[in-house]
This record gives sequence, C-alpha cells and structure tokens, in this order.
Amino acid sequence: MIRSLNRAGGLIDTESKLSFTFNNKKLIGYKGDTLASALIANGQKIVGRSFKYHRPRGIFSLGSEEPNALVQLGNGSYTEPNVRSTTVELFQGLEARSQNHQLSLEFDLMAVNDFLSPFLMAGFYYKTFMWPKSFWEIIYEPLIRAAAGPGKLSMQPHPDCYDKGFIHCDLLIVGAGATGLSAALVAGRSGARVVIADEDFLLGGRLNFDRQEINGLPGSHWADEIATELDSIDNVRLMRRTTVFGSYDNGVFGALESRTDYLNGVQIKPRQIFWRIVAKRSLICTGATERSIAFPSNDRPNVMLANAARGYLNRYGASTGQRLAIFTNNDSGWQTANDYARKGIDVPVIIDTRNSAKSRAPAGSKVNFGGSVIATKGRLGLSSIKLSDGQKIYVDCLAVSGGWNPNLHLTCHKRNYPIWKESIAAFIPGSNLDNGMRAVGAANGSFDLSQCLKEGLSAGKEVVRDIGFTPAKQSTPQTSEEMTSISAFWHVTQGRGRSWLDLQNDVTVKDVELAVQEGFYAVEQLKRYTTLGMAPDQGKTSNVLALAILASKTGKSIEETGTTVYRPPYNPVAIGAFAGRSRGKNYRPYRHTPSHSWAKSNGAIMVEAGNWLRAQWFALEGETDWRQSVDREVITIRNKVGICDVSTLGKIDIQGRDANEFLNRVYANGFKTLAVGRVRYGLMLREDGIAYDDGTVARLDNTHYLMTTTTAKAALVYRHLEFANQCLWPGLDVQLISVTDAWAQFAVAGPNSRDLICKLIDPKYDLSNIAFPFMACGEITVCGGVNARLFRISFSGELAYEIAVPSRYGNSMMEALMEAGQEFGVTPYGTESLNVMRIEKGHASGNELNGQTTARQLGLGQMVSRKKDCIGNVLSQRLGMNRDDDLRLMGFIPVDHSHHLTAGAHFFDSEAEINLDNDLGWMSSVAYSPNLGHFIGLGFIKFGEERLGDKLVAVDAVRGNFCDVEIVSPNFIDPEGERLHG
Amino acid sequence: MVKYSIKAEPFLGKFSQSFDGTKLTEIDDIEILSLACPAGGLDNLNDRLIASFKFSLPQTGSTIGAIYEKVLIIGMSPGQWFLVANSVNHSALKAIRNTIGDKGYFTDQSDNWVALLLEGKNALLSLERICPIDLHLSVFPEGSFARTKMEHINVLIYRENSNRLLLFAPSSYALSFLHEVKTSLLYVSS
Repeated sequence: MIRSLNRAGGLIDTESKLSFTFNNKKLIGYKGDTLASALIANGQKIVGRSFKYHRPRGIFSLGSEEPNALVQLGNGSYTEPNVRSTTVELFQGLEARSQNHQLSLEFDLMAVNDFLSPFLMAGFYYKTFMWPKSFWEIIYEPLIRAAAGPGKLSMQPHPDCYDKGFIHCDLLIVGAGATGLSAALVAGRSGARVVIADEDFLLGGRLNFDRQEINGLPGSHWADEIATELDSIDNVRLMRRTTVFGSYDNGVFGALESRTDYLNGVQIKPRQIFWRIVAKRSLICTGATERSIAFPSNDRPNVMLANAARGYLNRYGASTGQRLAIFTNNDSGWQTANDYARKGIDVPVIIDTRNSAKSRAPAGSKVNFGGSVIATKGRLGLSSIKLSDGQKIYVDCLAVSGGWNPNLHLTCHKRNYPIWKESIAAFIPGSNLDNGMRAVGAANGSFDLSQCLKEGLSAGKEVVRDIGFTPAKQSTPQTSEEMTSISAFWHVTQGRGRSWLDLQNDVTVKDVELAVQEGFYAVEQLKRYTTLGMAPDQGKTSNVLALAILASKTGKSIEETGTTVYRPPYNPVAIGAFAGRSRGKNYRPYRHTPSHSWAKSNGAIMVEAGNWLRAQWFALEGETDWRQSVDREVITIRNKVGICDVSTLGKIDIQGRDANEFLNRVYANGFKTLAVGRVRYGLMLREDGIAYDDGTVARLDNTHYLMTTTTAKAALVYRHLEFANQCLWPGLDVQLISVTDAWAQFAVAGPNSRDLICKLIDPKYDLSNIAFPFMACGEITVCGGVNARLFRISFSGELAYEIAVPSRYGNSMMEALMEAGQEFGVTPYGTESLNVMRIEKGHASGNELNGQTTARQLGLGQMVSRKKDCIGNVLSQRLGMNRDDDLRLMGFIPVDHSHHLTAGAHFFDSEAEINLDNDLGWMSSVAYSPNLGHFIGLGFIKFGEERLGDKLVAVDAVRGNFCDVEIVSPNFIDPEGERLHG
Repeated sequence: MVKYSIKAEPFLGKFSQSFDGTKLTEIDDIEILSLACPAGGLDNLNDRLIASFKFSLPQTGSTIGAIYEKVLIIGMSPGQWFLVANSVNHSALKAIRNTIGDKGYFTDQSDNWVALLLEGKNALLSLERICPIDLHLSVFPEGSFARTKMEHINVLIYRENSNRLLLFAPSSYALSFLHEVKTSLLYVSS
C-alpha cells in the first residue's frame, strides 16, 4: 500500500484515481478509499433512507457497525443488497445505489411513513391489521413487505463462485490493531504458527484513524512496519479482509475472507472463502466500537460518531463537514475536535455532559460543560443544533461520542455472558471464556493505547510459553498516555422529538418506554418486541445505549438489567459462502458405476440413487415414453437375456476363523450349514426385531465370505457389522473390509443367460445346471485369465447370474457382454426394469424394508431361526409383532385390468367409510407388468393370506385414484421357480 | 478359448495435468493389498516379517517403506494394514504375501481406490481448500498417513515429501474427487 498524504492528509493513494457511480452519478475516489469515505469526500451527505420511517440517513460510522449507509452494489445477477458502504473497498467501476426509497433518494414517497410514526411504534404489527382476517395474506403482508426490506435481490443465481477451506494454527489473533499486532509479532518471532486476521484491507485498526505515535512513528507507520515484518515470517499468516465471524467448539472459528470483492470485472476465482480455522489458542483483539447518545432528532445525515468523523479525516483525508460540533461524555470527542481544528476546520463548540475534562480544547472552540444537544435541524443534512442552554449553533456536522463498547462478540458465542464494568461504562467479556481464548486490549476494556500495546505483548508471550515455545525478547513499544475518562450519559431528556437508539431498525427511546409499559422489560423481550439490535449491524452501536434506557425505565442498574448475548455471525455472511463450491451439479459428489461410460454412450437415462448415478432405462431410437423402453427391456429379459450393472450393491469381504459364527449371529436365518461354493439369501434384523436389510452371502473359502447388501444400506450395514465385531463380540476372529468399489458386478438374467456367460468365462469352468446350480458361486477367470467371481443368484426370477470383475475392467466387460449377447438378443436394462421384475416376483425392496416392517410381515417369518441367537431374535418374538391380524405382504391387481395402481394408496373394504379406523394397509410398490398386461402391486394388508381373493378399494386420496383391487399372491410370475432353477 | 478380451481402463483415463507448476496425476498401476491380522496373531505375523524382511508392521496411522522403494505399508486401523506397491514392485508385494501366508487375511483393494499424485508448490495450498486435517510438516511429516474426508468423500492421504502427496479415494468417486482437487488447484493457481 502506498501511503499518501494527499487529499488533506489521508492514507489513500491519490496517484490511483478510481471512478465509480452512486445512483448513476459519476464520482471519483482513490485507491485506499472505502465507498463511504469516497462518498464523504464527494460531499454526499444522504446515502439512504431509514428502515421504517424512511427518514434521510447519512454515514454514521467507520466500519462494520454501520447502521445507516447500506447500499445496493452491482447490477443484474451480480447485484448485492444491504452492503455496508463503510466496509466496501473502492474499485474502478464500482456501481452503488441507495436503498429503501420510492422515486429518488432525496424525494422519497414513502417518507409519508414518518408522519404516520405515532401509529408505527414498536410492535405495531402485533396490534394492527387484525381485521378482516382474510386481508392479512392478500393485502397487509404484501404491502408491508413491499414497503420494508431495504435492498432487492436479483432473483437469479449469483454468478460469482465461493470456496471453503481449513486452516490450523497454534494461535489465532482476531484483529490487527495495536494489541493484535503486538501479540502477533512476539508470537511469530517465537516460532508459533500464528494466524492474524482483520476485516480491514489496511492493518492497524484505529492506529490508521488516530494520530498517536508509537516509538516516535505515526501509529499507522508503526502498524505498516509490523505488518511488513509479519508478512516475512514463514510461520505467520496475515489475513487481510478477513472477518472472523464465529467462535465454535474445540477452538474452531469461522472466518470469511474477501478475495475478489474489491476487484473490477468478472472474476473466475472465488469471491470469498469461508475458512474454518482450528486454533490451539486465540486472542480476541477486536478493539471497541464507539456508541452514540440519545437526543432529539439525533438521526440526521452528518450526525455521526466522533471517531468516525476523525477517521474519515485522518485515514481518508475526507472532512465530514466545514463546521463541526462535538457532543461527548468522554475524552474521545475531544480528540476529534483537535484533529479537525488542526486541519483548519472550524469547531465552534464542544458540548461535554461532564462538568470538567482534562483534555484541552482547540483554540477558538467554546466548551459547554454539563450541557447537551436538545434539537437538530436540517432536512437532508444537518444545518444547526440547539443546546440545552438555548443556544442555536449553525454546524454541518455533529460528532457524537457516548463512550466505547468492547467488541466482545466472539467471546459470547459459546454462552459466556458479558459483565458490566462501571469504570468504563461498558460490558467486558465474562470470566468464563473457553480454554485457550483470551480477550485483550480494548476488547477487554483497556482503551488506552499504551495499555493495549503492553497487554498485547504480554498475552502473546504467555500464549507461546503455554504452548511450548520460548517467548522472543521484545520490549513494549513506547507511546504517550491517552486520556480515556468517561462519565456515563445516555439520554437527553430535555427537548422535543424522537431520540433514536437503533438507527438501522428505527427504534427510539419511546419504543423502549412503550415496551416497558407493555410489560416487555426483560432484555430478550425488549429485543424481540422492538427489533432492537437485529439485522446486519446486530446492534453494535445501539444495544448498550438501549439497555441503559431500559435500566433507567425499570429502575434497575445496567448490571441488574443484563444484556442479550451475541451469536454468530458477527457480520452478515452470504449463503453462497456457506455453500462454497457445492452448488448446482457439484452440490454433492457422485458415484459412477464401472460401466457408466458405456451406459451414457448407449442411451441410458440416469437416475440418482443416493450418491450413485445409475442407468434407469436405455432408450432406443423411436421410443418416446419411458414405459416403452422399460416394457421392451422386461419382455426381452423374460424371453431372451438382459444385462444390468449392479455394482452399487454393498459388498463386504469377511474373513476369519469365526466368520461363519459371526454371520450366524448377524443374520436372522442360519448360516452354519452354508457350504463353500454356495450362496445364501440372508435377512438381518435390528436389535428391536424390525427387518433391517437383506442380501446374499457367498462362501468363497472356509474362512472367507462375501456379503452383499442393498445399495441404500451398504454403509449402514458395514457400520452395523463393525459395531457387532468390535463391541458385541470382540472375541471372535473376524475381519471386515468393504470391497464395494473393487468389483464391477453385472446381473445377466434371462433364459439365454447361461449361453451368454459361457461365451466369456474361460473354458475350464462348467456352468451346467448340475455343476453350477442355483445359488452356486465360485472364483473363476474370464476372457483369458482375468480374475472374476460368478454367482448364480436371481433378483428377476429368471435363470440368472451375477458376474464380477475388478472395477477397472467393468466398462470393457459390459462391452464384451453386449457384444457376446448379440446373438441371443441381449438388452441392457436399468433400475426400472429391475424394479418391475422384482415386483413380479414379490421380492421386498426399500419400499417394503422401510424400517417399520417385520420379517413376518414381509412373508419371511420362517427365516427367523429359533434354534440360535442372533441380533433381533428375542425382540422379534414380542406379542405385538406376532398378531394374527398383523399386516402381511401380498400382491394386488386391479379388478378392471385397464386401471392403473398407485403406490401409497391405502386399502379399505369396499363398503367401508374411508377413515383411519377402517384403514387396512397400504400399497408399497407398483409396476406395470408387460408380461401380464396390467398393473400389479405389492402391499401390506391385515390378515394377509386369509384374505386371498378378496376385493378391496385402493384409495390414493392425494392423486385422486380410487381403484378396486383383488388380493393375490405376491409371486406373480413363475411361482414354482422353474425358471431360476432351469 | 474365449474370443472376447477385456481390458483394464484407468478410472480417470491416466489423467495428468499441470496447474501453475503443480502436477496432478492419476497413478493407475498401484496395487493395494489389505492385510488383516487374525485375532491374537500379531506376534506370529511380525515374527515372520522380521525373520524374512527385518521389519514389523507399523502402528495405526504410521507407515513404513515407500511405494517407489518397493512396498509401502500403512497402518490403517488396529489389526489392519494396506500394502501398497506399483506394478514394478509387484514381486516384492507378492513376496510379503507369500511370507505371511496363512498368518494373515488378504483382500485385494487395488480397484477399490483411485490414486492421485499431487506434486508441486501449490499442493498444500490446494489441499487447504478440501482437507480438514492439519498438513503442516511439524504435524504431518514425510511418511505420514491419515484417513480423512474431502468434500464428503472418504480419502486416504499419504505424504511422500513436503510437496508430494498421494491421495486415495473410493474408485466410484473418481470423477467427483478429481473435480474437487482440480478445482482447488485452479483456485490457488496464479
């Protein structure tokens, strides 16, 4: 940063001129300006309209505490509302517009609200708009919404990109003012990994706004030197433009770094980065924020905080007025008076509510001790003030200081309540800070610069010693003593008119009085009733002032009144920053099946199944409806052969001397007798006896098994098995590892499947029905020696195999299968056909294994062996789960075969009234069976088999489908299983 | 004789690209063998390894060896290790397997994982965007290994040297994982 003393002595670079617009008016600023400082330098006094009353408002503060100067930046999809102009770094071409007005900023039609203010007091919306009731949604609410809400969204996706990241450090220092820099230097020199973050683009905090010297240098130069050294230390990370907005458990902080906000043009790099900073220790060196005094009409443009007026002058060389008065209850206001006078700007009066002060007034300034401001004038900007002694003074700027509030927000995020410190008339961080966090300097109530430097150095040394480093030798920088005395003064009761507390939410002293009058005298109630302290500024300049008024109205001390506790974020954070790069198709990661590439090239329509992308069906040329494709696939499979990538099924490799016993305990059915080279279907129960998951287990060797799970439960079953292995039966010799991604597995189903498979497996293997019967498995080789596994299992009910090859061979295997299958009329098929065929066979799937059904309800009650113990066995014997009138999985067909069925329909007897009492069950799965020529369904019905042949009505009230159905066997196709054994 | 042949295809088509001096490459010739120890059998297992190769198995989170110096052995979890080698050193891997024999349970994991080698000046800066663990050399020195998550994907990370890291992600996530690492590299490139 080039430090320049142009434009009346600021720290801006006047060699770098920047043009920007405000309400389409072309203006000039300089590199180093904020939008606010550039507006002030251009004489722009009014920058927005207030939230409720639409009163003209000007810039009030210097930084993120700004309640007034919210603007809309950018255009089109890039536009961003409610941006605090005090934190916007000026860049070439910046476009800003004022908010919350109709017609022009200067002439706002909605300013009529100000005349209606007696009706718009706190909580007015709780009391009005009550009649007629129907008007609320159609008239009142739309009107209120149109009138309120300062900025406008583009309603388009924001084109900028965002990112997230992780930073680890020994010490996080939040705030790079005098305290933070002092601490960072000693910690960095000592070798600790230090991160120092500051929301400003220029480090130094108030050293850049004030004129104190350190070690004989202007404070800003000292800060620049320290920052330069810190930049050169490898173990120190200096994060400019970074707001630490939240403090979370275990030393984790949320921080938002602005990367391209201050650059012109379209950016391809992330605009902002949301960092999660993990710190062993943290120092909160966030300084303090000045507050105002409540007095009549204290919201006019150019009534601003004293330190802000001083800051614009000293840092940006921008005078906030030509004739400035000071209204203060502490010494800070006097500094402003002296700095302005030093620049030759007229300061006719300092009004100090105290009776005396040690500070010296500039020559020519009158001092009004014990006085106050009781009125202000000026419609679009301050023109005069009236004092309590009756004097009227013509000024165009009034700088107000009601004292300082430590920025203790980050210390509150984990419910550490601030405590009141009378000597500084402010809250300081409570003593119950998390291990490793300390508030230092002004953030802890030390407002004197020399004290801040001393505390920063001391804290830095203590922290590094605490984490095992030897503190570097470093002496405290020298500076002159500051006067920081204050005598609390909150509210001018003399005079007429409203006295504003919260400028952002248009909350006045009268609103607080009304809240108390109506019984909302607890701080939390006050906040909700009046909206005080809400919205972007989070009450940074208003909270303490309002608490003091509340205390005075309730006759309590501020300490007794207490305060609300701050929560994250300290500053508003764009939702985009939280999303980071996880947007659009990158919202979450995807899993691709091994044959994904082949499928995409061959007309696959994809569907998301969890994180997996699976082929749903394969559309051929001329097929215009998904049913055409699926019907064709199903017919082809039942008559010829089809291939489906089923690699998504969970696959768990289980080995160990006790693997057989382990399986016997986790499955409801017995596994003791499973022979090598055989596969068995298994049903798992939860501990409470409810069906959990189903799948198969293949015994590959004496101590080696391969379990398959459903796609949806792959990870959950693995976790369940690990729990059983590690916690329930740690004595068993069992080892588990997932091989889901290791194998590409294909279902080859249909009467021609054996012929097709035989063309690919190496000739030494015999696939005859005798050598390789239904439920056989084996480790084989294919295509000249490639390792593979073959299972004769069937989900479709057809003669079928599942063949697995290492995943890298998956795509090539699919090509080979399809090529080899041409002579057999092969078709690829997807999840839809898979579903149709399993419904035709009455196989339960996710719709039936829904976490509420039992083995008995699924028709698998006989599988739950009573000869052994297993997970869920005992509780599955509960009476309630074994009732005669319990639900059973059955098949359903429409009485009129031309009708369609819908899943989710509920069953009722034909004559019964349709209500919950008469509900007999529900349809869980539905498909059109091209083999049967009509819809079929699976569902749960009371008394199950006993009602075989009964006719019911299936009611889908949501979609308006009422269909007469007949209860049939759930096994629609080949109930004897001749095909799969063929 | 089967008339059809099939071929192994790299999950990412042997992806290799340089981003501002930092190279991201798919390593497709890595073999990964999972070794699990039978209950109570660790001493037996180590005895065999010490007798034949003069090393014993590392603790969980630690490694011995290196991929390009024959075999890398990673302590994955209590009682489980990954033996990692490239195709050149297949015989070394086989020798270990043969030596251990029935004293351990083996599972081939080669196709379960896609491996990306990240090497260059921006390697750590790019990982900072997706990797939640502390990769500072004082915490994660050369030879370190960790299991972590990057953008919701389970990842194994191994540090060969200060700016050279090997990342393993489940092979079905290969494209998404590549996207994440590439995006990070693009974002940190000048």
